Amino acid sequence: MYTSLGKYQPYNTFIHKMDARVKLVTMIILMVSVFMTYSQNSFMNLTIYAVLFLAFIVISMLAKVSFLSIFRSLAAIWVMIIFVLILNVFFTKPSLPEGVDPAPYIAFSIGALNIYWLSIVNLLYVIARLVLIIMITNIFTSSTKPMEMTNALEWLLWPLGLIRIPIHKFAMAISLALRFIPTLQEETDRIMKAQASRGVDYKQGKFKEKVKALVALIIPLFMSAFTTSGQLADAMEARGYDPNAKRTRYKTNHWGLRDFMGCLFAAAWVAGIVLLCVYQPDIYAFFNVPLPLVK
Amino acid sequence: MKRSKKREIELTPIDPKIPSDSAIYLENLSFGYEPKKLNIKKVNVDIKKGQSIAFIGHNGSGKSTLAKLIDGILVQNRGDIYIFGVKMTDDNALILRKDIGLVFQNPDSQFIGATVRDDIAFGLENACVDPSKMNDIILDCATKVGMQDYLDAEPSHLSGGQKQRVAIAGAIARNPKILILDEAGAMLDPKGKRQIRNIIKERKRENPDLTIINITHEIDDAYDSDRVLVMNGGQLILDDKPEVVFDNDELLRQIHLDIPFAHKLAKDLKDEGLDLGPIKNDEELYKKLCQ
Amino acid sequence: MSIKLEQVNYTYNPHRPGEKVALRDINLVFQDHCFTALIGRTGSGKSTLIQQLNGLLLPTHGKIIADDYVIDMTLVYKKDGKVDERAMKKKHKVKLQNIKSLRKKVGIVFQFPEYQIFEESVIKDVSYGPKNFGKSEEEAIKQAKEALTLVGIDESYYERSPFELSGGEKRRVAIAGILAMEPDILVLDEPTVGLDAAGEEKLMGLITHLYEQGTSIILATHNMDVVLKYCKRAIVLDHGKIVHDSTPLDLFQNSEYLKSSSLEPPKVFRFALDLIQGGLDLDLSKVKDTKTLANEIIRVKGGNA
Repeated sequence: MYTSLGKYQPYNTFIHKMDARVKLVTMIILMVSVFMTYSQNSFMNLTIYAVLFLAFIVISMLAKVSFLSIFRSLAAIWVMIIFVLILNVFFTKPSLPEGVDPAPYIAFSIGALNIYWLSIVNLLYVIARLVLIIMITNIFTSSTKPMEMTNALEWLLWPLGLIRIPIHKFAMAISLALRFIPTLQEETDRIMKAQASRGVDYKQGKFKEKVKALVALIIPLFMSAFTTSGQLADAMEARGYDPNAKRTRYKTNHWGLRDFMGCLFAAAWVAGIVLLCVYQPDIYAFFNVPLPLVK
Repeated sequence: MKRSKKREIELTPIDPKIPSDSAIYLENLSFGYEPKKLNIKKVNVDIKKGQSIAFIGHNGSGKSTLAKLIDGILVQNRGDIYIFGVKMTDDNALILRKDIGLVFQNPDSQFIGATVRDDIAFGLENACVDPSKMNDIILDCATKVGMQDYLDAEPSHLSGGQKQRVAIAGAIARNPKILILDEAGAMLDPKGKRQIRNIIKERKRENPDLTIINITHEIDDAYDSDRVLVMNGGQLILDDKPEVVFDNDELLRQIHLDIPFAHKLAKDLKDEGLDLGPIKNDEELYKKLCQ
Repeated sequence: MSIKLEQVNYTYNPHRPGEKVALRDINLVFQDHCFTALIGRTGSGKSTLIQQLNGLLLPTHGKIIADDYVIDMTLVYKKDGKVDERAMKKKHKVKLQNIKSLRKKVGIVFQFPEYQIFEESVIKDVSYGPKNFGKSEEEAIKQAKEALTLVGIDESYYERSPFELSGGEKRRVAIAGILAMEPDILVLDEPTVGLDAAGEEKLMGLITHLYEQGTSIILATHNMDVVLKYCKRAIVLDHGKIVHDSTPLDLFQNSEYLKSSSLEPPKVFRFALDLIQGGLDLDLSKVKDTKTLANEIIRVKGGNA
């Protein structure tokens, strides 16, 4: 199936219907939980990440977000990340005190090159965090309309209003920009086709021709964007918009059970994190599982 | 030149010299986008409460500019605008605008919200309507324009005609006493035009006090109104009942305007040597020809 | 030059959310030197059809033959009789060779063409097309001048910025930009929208002139007056299908069909029908506008007297 990463998917799950503010706060909490250290034992931490991964998969499925698409859409980037990380694996060393035998810290050796457990664990950390963060943001952006996201962000940033930063004006600007993205796309498509009919070739051609072709696209696009923005400003004024005046806010969503559940989930999650951080459980120590040395 | 945004509001009292039944009173109104070139030249007109007016004139004759002046979006160079007898000033323009709904030509650039619902709500938010009452108003207005099944639709999934109907819903949601349509149907197909026309007729039927100004190219629209104002080169050159205005065939032709069908055919017949005398409408012409 | 469409289908976003079938099994021939109207409400597939004609959109499957230029996207079947999706995908991946040669012959004037203007002077903008199609600077300017003369833009405008012109003038410059390419077929999408009566008549006069000079005209329009007065053939599209194809006269006389569609014959035609019912023996095929109707009335009345 075709999905592009992070793009809103118009499904009708309870996560889609949930108040964007609840989702935004929950997302931030989940993100924080990805960056916490839960145990001195790195393997225990990684185990918890694996649990988080499973939990996020469940949330993805509830929101009908294809979590596999993350890996597919980022294929090109993954290659690069993994290349850099592998280099990192080869060239990091644990800082051992003088005279300590490095042998137990070494996972394996390739010729004269020692690969330490530490580097492998570090590598797993970075990958785990990256995957988890992308997953959680992807769930949020795929299940929340851009406009609702803006409104939630505006709500979250209200304290900035206290220091006279006009948050609502920025929010209005962002909403309008989001609203007009499809319009601009249509316009771009239209102008490209009109110029293609005049013999412009956007796919082939020499560099100089391509530059000219771009000019033939950008100038009309700007002209049309200026016209549109002027007309939009008139339309907004005609309906009584005054950037400095007080306005009420229309909300489509009514606070429902699902939002309450969302809050409950977020609260439980916070409690879980706190408990984990306080008690620092270590199942490996509990069951006396032998682990390689990491430092 | 745009209005300065002053917050303090002082309503100018009703001017005694303005007739009490006047909705829009323009006095010696002049305006130019550039100082030396006037787009509106000394327009004087008194539009009565509850009248439905058609503004006709070829492209660039100043009709749209006049609409923006009346709504206070542009500020005149000279002359005065009175809305229900109150003189428009920088301070009260925003207040007076509450009584005016203005629908523009371009369906895409006046769709402000992300969905139909949000777009109708936009004007209500500006008017500080209690959010708990908004849903009812939105549903009511959407129903009046036949868009009640599309409340959550996004503009990119709507046709031009549907977007224009939403724009009308957005305008009437604020419950204006004056409704101005600035070529609202010009970019639509015949079906879209017909729907807009029917919606306006229905509004007028339900609320006879509503003053309607229809800026249009369509002769049919003009014929439906109480009064036709003809603009040319920024000047008001004719102001009368439709029958009378459209009797001025020669003048209308000179300023590149279309004339009603019956008049056109009668004139062509006369040119070919068959003079039927003055013709008012299709039926009369039909009778004369089929006798 | 003629264009033939065989079993042309077009789907937007195939196999994706938002999939939308725009054309279904279109079989159509635009003969050499035609003056054809494409009629249909918004979303009926008119614009999609137009874009097939010069390869801006390629049929999802089907075949388009424009003289010697062939776009072959006919379906490939597997042995079991099912469509071979992979082979179709492969077909769509092959880059069209020399598509410019087709675009030079089929000139498309889009709706609101004034938005395609971008050069700093009128003459430069109009000569942009011919230059793209390999004409030398001199030839391009010469063709541009001819095109501008055709649309009634005189020499004093050549060096002016097109952005300073009025709306109507801009549109004429934009149309000249296509005419300068000297296409064999001129396709226009709603050219009269937003023009007043005088502007409309002028533009249609120009198009008729081009037709008389030998250019084939394909016109997508809602304007039935234009269809009756100027076009020789009227094709009606609905939901991506051709639902009617005849002369405008037959279309407007087909009252049964008209009732089921939302089409309305032009006023002059309806009035002529009323007159016929009222006892005037008019020849409908002669009625194109008020002028010709007047002539017919005089002919009939004169005969009676």
